[in-house]
Amino acid sequence: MSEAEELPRSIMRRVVKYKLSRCSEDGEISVSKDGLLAFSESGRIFIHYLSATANDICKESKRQIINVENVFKALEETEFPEFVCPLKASLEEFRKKNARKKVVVSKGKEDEPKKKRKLEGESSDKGEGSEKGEDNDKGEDSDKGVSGDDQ
Amino acid sequence: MTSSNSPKPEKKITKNTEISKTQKKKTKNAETPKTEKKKTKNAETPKTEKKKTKNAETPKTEKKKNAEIPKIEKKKTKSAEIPLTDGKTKRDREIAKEENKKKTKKPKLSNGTSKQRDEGSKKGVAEGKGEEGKMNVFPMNRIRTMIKGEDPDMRVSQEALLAINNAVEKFLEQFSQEAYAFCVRDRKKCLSYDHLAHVVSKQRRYDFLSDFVPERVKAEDALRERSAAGTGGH
Repeated sequence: MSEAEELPRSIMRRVVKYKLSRCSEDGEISVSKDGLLAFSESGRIFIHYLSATANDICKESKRQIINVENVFKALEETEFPEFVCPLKASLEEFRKKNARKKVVVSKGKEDEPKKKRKLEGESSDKGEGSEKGEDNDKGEDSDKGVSGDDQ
Repeated sequence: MTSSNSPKPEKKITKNTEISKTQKKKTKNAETPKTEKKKTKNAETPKTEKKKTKNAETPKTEKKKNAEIPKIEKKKTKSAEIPLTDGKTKRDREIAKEENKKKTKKPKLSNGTSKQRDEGSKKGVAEGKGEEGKMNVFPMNRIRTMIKGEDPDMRVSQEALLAINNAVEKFLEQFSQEAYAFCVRDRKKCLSYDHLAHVVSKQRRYDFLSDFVPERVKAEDALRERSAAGTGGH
């Protein structure tokens, strides 16, 4: 599964070219194949570097799950503190959207009992409750998939 | 991952091959937890798993191919005695490496497109707004699997995963901007590998990339270093 260990190349190219087009007043600037490969490797190493540093910080505080504060401290240790402010802003937007989603879900009262039953069925099949805590969003996605089947 | 093991200012080409081997080993070690993940996913969405399995078959063969070629390169180095022939063989190596890169790139692009579709569907389901596209550029599950591949026991909350996702995007923007500055200094219109390597060598905070994006060195210099290291090592 080498694919799972790589960032999607097309998205990578889009991000880099978008940034370069903003930097350059002239037309587009092309990126060589070696350069794009170097960007891909750099992104992958950055993820490992950042997650390992955040993991160390998390262990120092004697916890088992990495949270956002650990990531922010890791960014400061890795000498990229300028990323913290924009990340906090995007995090607040994310939280607001989650609140909106909850409101939408609560409105659909009639569907609630059906969803609950389906969740119970899935949990019995899996036989493990710990997965729920880790994959909240995945659970939501699976619910939507099931509702699609009913239609 | 963060330690830079090379005290010497100039870096050898051979080290790159060694690093690639370590990477392969890591990928091999990471295979078992992925299978476990697959088992859990089987209960939820078998269709997506089928697609993943299909995609997963080709890169394994490619890995094997990649693993074979460096061995051949080693043999060439051993057999080669005259410096002129050494230069030629290394040129052949570079060509082979480029071919490997081309082969590896093709399936990844297709995979990227497929996952983009998944992202599109998710956005549509979740009241798809432009802002979400900006927030989550890279697929979240992909980043999660990359982090789990490093250490299966590592647990990351959803918000932390989002922060890492955005951090990688900003890192790439920062890196490309600084590489662009060197590109302008060279008065060129194409951003090449040398500009990236120059950024890594010049700025201290990019030291964690020094083993993966090193400055290119001429074959003659690499041979000299190798002979010097050989006398010391043996």
